[in-house]
This record gives sequence, structure tokens and C-alpha cells, in this order.
Amino acid sequence: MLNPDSVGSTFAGTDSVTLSQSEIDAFCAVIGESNTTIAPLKCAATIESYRVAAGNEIVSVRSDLHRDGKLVISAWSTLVVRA
Amino acid sequence: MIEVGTVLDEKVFYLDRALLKAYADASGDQNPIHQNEEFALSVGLPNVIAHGMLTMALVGKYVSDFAGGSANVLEYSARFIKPVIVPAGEKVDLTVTATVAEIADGKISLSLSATSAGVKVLGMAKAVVNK
Repeated sequence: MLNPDSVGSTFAGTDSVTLSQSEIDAFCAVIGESNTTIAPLKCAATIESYRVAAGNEIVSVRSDLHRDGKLVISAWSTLVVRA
Repeated sequence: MIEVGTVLDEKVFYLDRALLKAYADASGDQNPIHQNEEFALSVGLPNVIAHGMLTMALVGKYVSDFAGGSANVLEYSARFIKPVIVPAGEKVDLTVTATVAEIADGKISLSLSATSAGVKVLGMAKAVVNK
């Protein structure tokens, strides 16, 4: 059971994360991407909403990636915990 | 010429167990439903299935190639409605195409189609890219 009081909570990464070139190369190789650049990123995740529908718990999480203090990507994920 | 209603060229990606292993290693998602057939069957799946984010990444590659690079991709979203099933020893298709839904303010909105073995695997898939 999820805690509805967690809505609005932000879980920030503690440090900037730099992916290694080999990690990036491995990921790009899988999808056939040739443009590989190392990017130090900071990540934070925020629980944006929580609701229950027909016994299913539905939680939406926004993940923000920052580089050099600028937001570069926001990704929303909606997760369902089935009843 | 790109205009509303234009259907973009189809691209077919091929997935096999080796690709799932490579993606698992690259992403850190070692959930056994993506590699272990016995486990996948035990939790009610028809077989090993591809990582949803792998499916989304491949469709994202299609979008970024059309856009001329990932920096031109402004929005991209989809729902996972069916899994891509990857039996042992087989290469399965992920067939992607897109239709231009809107052109406005220097942006192109795409409605995306992604199927595997003729089954629609992504729902409400769309992207907005710089023109």
C-alpha cells in the first residue's frame, strides 16, 4: 500500500552522476545510436500524484535531469499497483 | 514534402534474446522476465518479453533520426499496452512508423505506431520535434 502523504515529495540525487563512456557506448549499441556524449547529470524524482481506481493504486512520478543547473529532460512515469 | 497526414517511412527493428541481455546489462534492469523463460512463464507471461523501455528507446531512435538528432526531440510519450514477446532463437520485429499530426510554430507533431508480430505494443504514442 502506497502512502498518499508522499505526494509532492522530491527525492533528489545526492551527487552529480557522470556516466562512463563505456556505459554510454553499451546503451547506444543496443539501440543503434552513434551520437555518444558523456553528460554529468543530476537527477531528482517527485511523486506528483496518487490515486486509487477500482482498487488499483496509480502513482505518477516526474523525474528531472539537470545539467549545469539547467533542466534538460523531464520524464513522467505512471505506475499501477494492481489490486 | 512533409505535411499533415504524411506517413513517414517505416523502420523495422529486430529484437532477440541477445539484444535483451545487452539492454539488461546496459540499463541495469536484470528483471528475469526479460531473460528467463521459465520465470516469465511462472508469472503468467507468454514468454520472455522485451523491456518496455527498450521498446520505447528504439521508437525514440526512430523519432530522433527523423528529427535530425535527439536535441530536436521536444516531447515523446507512450503507454505500454502489449509486450514485445521474444521467444528463444527468434528475431522478432518492432515495426515503427509515424503520421504527421500537426505542423505549427516550427514544430512537427507525430502520431507513432509501433507493432510487433502485427500486434500494437505502444498506445497513445506521440512525439513533438523541431521542424
